[in-house]
Amino acid sequence: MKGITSTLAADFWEYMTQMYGAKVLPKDDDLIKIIRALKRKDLAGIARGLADLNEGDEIGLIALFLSKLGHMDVADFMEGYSTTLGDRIYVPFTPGEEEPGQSLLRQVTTCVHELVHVRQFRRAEVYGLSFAVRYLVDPAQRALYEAEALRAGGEVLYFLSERELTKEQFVGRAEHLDAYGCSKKDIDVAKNYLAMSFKTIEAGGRIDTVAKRGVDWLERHL
Amino acid sequence: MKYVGMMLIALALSATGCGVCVAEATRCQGQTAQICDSRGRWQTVMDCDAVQGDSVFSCVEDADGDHTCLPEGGME
Repeated sequence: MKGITSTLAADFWEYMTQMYGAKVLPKDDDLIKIIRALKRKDLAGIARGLADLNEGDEIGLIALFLSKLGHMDVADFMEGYSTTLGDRIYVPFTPGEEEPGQSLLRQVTTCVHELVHVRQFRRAEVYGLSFAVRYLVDPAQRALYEAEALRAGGEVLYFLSERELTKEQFVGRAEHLDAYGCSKKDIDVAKNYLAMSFKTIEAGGRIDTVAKRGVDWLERHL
Repeated sequence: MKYVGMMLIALALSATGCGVCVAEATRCQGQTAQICDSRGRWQTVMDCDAVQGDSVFSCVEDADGDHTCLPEGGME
């Protein structure tokens, strides 16, 4: 596995988020305030939290929160998961600062994963429904949104592993999707999505544009 | 009249994208590799024309019966 230094991880985040016009925000900021208020059913706290947000993604924000909180422990959500809302990426770590459960390698793949969600937000609406609404109401679609993001992170991981990442490891990245409210059937589809993609990657193909940009940068800086 | 009804059902299915395929089935739609989601809708996995590499990639059915993008003329 190629080594990732603190500086490299921080620089990677800075470069990639600049390329995609995304902002990185600490998760212990406005997001956590709103989550806590939601858990307490504190309407005034929710209102204050939403008022503190700078730009207008409140509907998507609430939708994503409700979706996530329905299936995931709030502490795990705050400490272990990154969340993307529009062009804002909320992370439970400072890029470049290694923490338990947030290795520098994981930080790099998380960056690519979340930037795929930024791209998904920007895609043209389908059937009049925004990404956030489809993500919330349609677990089958949610599984595929996540599979696309997992694949991009996996492509970078495959490069960093010097092509030693196995198909089982690549496909196994979809195992945790039950925490996102996806059924076994949804997860099986996501795994098959990743298995199909792995065959292309193993054959020398580069699929995702965010991953391509990330690998190109890493090739220049490692 | 029966045919009109069938056409309406087919149109409705194609409009909603529901229930037209079996979950986890895969296919090539032109140069696009697709998978059937758990609600029976075909979803794009990747566009082989957009795959970058040293070879040209095309959508094929592999030995496992999966459809995916592989280099024309075999593995790189």
